[in-house]
Amino acid sequence: MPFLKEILKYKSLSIIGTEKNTGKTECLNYIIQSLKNSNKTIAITSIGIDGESVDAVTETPKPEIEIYKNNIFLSSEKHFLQKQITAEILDVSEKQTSLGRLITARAMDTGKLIFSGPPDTKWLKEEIQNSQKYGVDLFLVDGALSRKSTASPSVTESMILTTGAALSANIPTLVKKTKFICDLIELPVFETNLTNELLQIKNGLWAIDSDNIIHDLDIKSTLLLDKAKDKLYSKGCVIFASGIITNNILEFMRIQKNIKETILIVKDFTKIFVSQEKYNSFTKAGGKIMVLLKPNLISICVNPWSPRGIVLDSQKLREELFKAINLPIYDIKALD
Amino acid sequence: MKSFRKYISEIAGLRFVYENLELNSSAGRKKLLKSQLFTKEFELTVNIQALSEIYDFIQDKKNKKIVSDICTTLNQVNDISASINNIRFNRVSDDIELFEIKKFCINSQKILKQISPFDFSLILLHDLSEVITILDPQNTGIPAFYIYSDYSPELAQLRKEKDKAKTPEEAENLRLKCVEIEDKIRENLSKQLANYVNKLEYNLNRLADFDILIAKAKFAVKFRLTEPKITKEKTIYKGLFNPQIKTILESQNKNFQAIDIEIFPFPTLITGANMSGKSVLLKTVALSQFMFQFGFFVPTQNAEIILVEEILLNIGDNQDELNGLSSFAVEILNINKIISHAKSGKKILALIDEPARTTNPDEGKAIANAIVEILTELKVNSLICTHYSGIKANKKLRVKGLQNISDNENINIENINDFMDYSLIQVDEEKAPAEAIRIAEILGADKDFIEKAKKEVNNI
Repeated sequence: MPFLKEILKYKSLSIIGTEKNTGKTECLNYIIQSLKNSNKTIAITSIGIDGESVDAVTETPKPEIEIYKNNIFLSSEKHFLQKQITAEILDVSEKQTSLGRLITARAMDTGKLIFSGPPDTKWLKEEIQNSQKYGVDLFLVDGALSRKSTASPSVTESMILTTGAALSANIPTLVKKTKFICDLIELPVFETNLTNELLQIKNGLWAIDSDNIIHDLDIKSTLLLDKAKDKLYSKGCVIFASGIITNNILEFMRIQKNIKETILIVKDFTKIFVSQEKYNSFTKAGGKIMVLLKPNLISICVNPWSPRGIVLDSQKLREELFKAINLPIYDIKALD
Repeated sequence: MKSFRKYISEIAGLRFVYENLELNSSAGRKKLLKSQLFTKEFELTVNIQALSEIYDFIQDKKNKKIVSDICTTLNQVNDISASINNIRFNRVSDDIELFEIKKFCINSQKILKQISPFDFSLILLHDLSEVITILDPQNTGIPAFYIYSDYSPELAQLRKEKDKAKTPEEAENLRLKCVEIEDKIRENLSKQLANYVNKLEYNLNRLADFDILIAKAKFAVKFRLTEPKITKEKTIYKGLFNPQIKTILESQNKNFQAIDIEIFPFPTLITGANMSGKSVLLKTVALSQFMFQFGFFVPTQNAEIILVEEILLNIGDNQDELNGLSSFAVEILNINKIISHAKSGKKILALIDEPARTTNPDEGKAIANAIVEILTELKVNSLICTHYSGIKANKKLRVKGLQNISDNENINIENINDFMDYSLIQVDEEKAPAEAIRIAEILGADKDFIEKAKKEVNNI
């Protein structure tokens, strides 16, 4: 069990896929199974709906989540009542998800489960905190496609990325795409004593001047940059974007003469929605992107199978990924 | 009858009250929003007395810890009325509902214990320990639930066998057998709980009341409200203030000038310059009457209030334009409603701001006079503000306004508040104060425009 020791260093872990069918659920099952005799209390949930027996996007069969006695899980009322295992209810939320209230329960036996967790990261965060009262040692979150925000270091402490043939059938492309995502995850932290203050900011672009003072640039969103170009560099080249960043801000900054001094800071990698091309031209021109919080990326799990029937060479895929990324790479199915 | 929820969006200042209430439980919040005006003296008296007890209780510094403990427990009290109704109608409860009932009973027992040293007249709770015994066969006292093996030796045995099943088919077979027994147990539990439906519902209601009373008492302490007395002759306010406007003014280091006013069973006519606070006065009287009849303490130093069956207002800010009605039409409909309610013999409070101001002044004056006359005949508790001169009324008040201020005083829109005396004085003359042009000048209106207006007024 290669990465379990690393996982147990943290209180919470989210598993995020670069694409559907990259083996997220298998990875989750593997971790839960490996910890079943560890006397650690595990809590499991997903963001939004997960655990369907057939994948809603590609209609391929999808491994269910198997949980063991004493695992704690959080699921909506609808899926809780469909369960086939015995479970002790510990809490019922007052708020509603689209599938009813959120039930926190302790499994009293072993079995497969379909479950759907809190619909948003704010609620998820509350539940992770709340789970402390049941003595949870590790909180596992099955992140969903396009919901990488669950992996935000402000929500879960650590993460595992899954990738595989479903992302690309061509190993070099697969490696290139996965490496880009890892590069964003591993962006360097902007070291400052202003971190907490900056994290509180809800919207707009801000500057941090050489005297370490934060200035509101009065630009409400990076999307409104076109109307406020002259303001952007009015307080120096260290710019903090409190929301998401997209291609347009990188493009704008890239052609400015002070691009080499430019540092663009975001809260964490989940706020970055830029294409690989624009990111590369931005960094090549000398611009830097930094983050306030960085997740602990524990490892990358690969699934050489794609739902279209393509099977890549697992060994080769892992080697190529390791060369590019330099992180532990596992194929869960090849571990046994 | 309208609920509190409805009035929140209709009565100026009531939303502020609601948003500043520290309610802990969803049960309390729901009950408050659904609640209706107290119109029976007996019920309101009991409620005021209960609030007064809680008010004294939370005011006492030695109770600080116990109040915070009770609030923490109340925070866990959910509205389980749907689960209670399920049992009442002999439906079988699912595990989630059984959990909710168990958790509710555990918290109810906790509060019963927490309040036992005190003697609250309204917060009497049933002992629900028997319900807990039914739902807690392991006697853990923890709010958690499933169909415990303790309920049936057969189930315990089957579960053990299932854990040791050798094939998936065998396990599935045993699981189905377990499910069958579990369903029977649920049915049986639901039947047993049916005996406690009334007690559960009673406690749910009392805990919701308790939460509401604590929130009202905290609100009363925070905003320095007063326990009102119910009276029959006339409503008397000493030092009436508007909690929301007072809060806003205080945040700007300004004062809210509290007002003394009486309301008789006939119209009192109030005149005063523009910006002299007549509308605020009416809105504040309205708010206070609603707070009184929703069982709150009231924003005044001293209050004796007549309990009425309907509080009817005609105070601007209406959204009825959206319904295709002109402001005059809305007004006439409102006035008509007041008259028809009064004629039907209902005891009402009517607060009317500038009646007939949106039509020609000659007819307007006639309409205003007619309103005063008919409300006098019908003995309606009422206040009517107007700018019209020549309205006949038994009692007339005027806002002092900008008085005895030398002409070289630099009054502007920023500081006008400091010069305005909002208190009311009794007057006998029929002429309303003419200060509109002066106020317009203070507001910084165009000079040519003001000059022209002054010329015109001198020609009259």
